[in-house]
Amino acid sequence: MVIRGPAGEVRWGYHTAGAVGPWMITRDAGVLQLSASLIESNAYRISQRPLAFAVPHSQGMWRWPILELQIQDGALTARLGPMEK
Amino acid sequence: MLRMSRPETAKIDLPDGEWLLVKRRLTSGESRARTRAGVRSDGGYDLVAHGEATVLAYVLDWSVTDVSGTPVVIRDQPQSVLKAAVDNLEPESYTQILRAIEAHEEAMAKERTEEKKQTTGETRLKPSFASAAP
Repeated sequence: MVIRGPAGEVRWGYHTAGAVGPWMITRDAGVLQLSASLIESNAYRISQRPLAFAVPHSQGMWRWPILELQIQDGALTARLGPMEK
Repeated sequence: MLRMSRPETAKIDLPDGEWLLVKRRLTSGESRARTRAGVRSDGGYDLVAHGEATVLAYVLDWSVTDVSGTPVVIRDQPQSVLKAAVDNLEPESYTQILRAIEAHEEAMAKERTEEKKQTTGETRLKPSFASAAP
């Protein structure tokens, strides 16, 4: 399974902790993996936990809890939990 | 005690089953931005702008519906969507929301004051005086 999108956010509660550009979520052996380019971030908020990956839409936002997060040279990868309802 | 802000929320119940979901407290950055919003170029302070900035800073979600009964979605939407929704409230509804948020802010300030009173081990600076002896 692969889901892609042009933009998304990293959220700490209701705060935006980071903005991402094109992103991709893959499922492999039941594990959701996010890959995205990190465009900008709030240094304090992105260091906090728990974080979530969020994709806004007209009726709200799709959110996945971030279980593990790595950021290196502008590339963000994360292991995600099931989408929140 | 110095402390960092946390993204906590609070639900404010309004008459007729209406409600607001607001930030429990603003961060220092949000508070300063709200204050700056009211500063006029002539050095005065615009209370209308301050009120608008207060609503936009605090509100996260609400029970407002449009004339057809469809929820007006603001949760997790861009600030521009929230502003457009707030700007299209009836004036009395806007005032009701603003007053509710102001009351909430006052309640949070009182809560902090009470917390400080109950804090033990408070450090008090002792005044120092130059010796009066010749």
